Amino acid sequence: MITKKLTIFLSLALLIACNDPSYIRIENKLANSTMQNIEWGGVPLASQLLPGETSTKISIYDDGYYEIDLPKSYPLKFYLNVNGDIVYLETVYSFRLGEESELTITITDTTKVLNPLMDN
Amino acid sequence: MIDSESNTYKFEQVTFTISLTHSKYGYLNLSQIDSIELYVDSKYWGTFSSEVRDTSFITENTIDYISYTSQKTKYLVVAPYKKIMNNMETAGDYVDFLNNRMTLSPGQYLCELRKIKYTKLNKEEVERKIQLFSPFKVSLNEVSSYVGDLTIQID
Repeated sequence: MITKKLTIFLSLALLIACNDPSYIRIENKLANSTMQNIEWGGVPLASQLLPGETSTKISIYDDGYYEIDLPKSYPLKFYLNVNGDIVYLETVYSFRLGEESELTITITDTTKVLNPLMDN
Repeated sequence: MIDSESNTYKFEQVTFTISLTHSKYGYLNLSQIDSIELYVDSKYWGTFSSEVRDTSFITENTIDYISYTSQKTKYLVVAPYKKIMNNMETAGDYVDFLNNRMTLSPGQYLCELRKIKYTKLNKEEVERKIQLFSPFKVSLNEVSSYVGDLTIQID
């Protein structure tokens, strides 16, 4: 009986210990440009980031609400807004978020991006 | 790309006629002006060619593989704004493009011709750097504006 309780307790403890989230946030280092509707792997990260702004950390649980099985790599997708003119962009390279880890994605002038419509 | 809601003006093109002259021989009689580089308020507008014309019937003399005439020969140029989105590789490229693209709201502007190219009868290409300014006006709800009848003296 004690063994059974101990087993259950240890299993729960292990489950809780393995359920720490990963965190992801975005930095907008583009001058005079606002990033909008930013998402990674379908996870909305920020509705808007002004030039120089960094988003709050978004927690992502492995196989949680967003059904992402960490570790996982996805490109960043966002709208680029310059003086009210908007274009949809995706990063060329994907960003990897590991289990129980933190990822900061910084978008600068040299970040390679593409617009799928134009590239086709 | 989505235009800003504040940009409701959809001005698209300028048009003008152009003649090339030589101080001694008169008007150049070409089938076409191959290339005209255009700026509006110092921002690159585009590079265009004129309409093609058959002007052989008015040639009066040919000197150094160029036909000339005393009749004023005009070439029509229709210059729509070229929204060039080539070679966009980085976020910075897109920022520069969106920052520098031109949207002409109603008002007065200055059109500038900076370079022209044409071809002699012996297929030799000629390039001339020029500086010719001409004002034009964009009115409300207009999509095109006529700059005027421009004349460039080559020599």
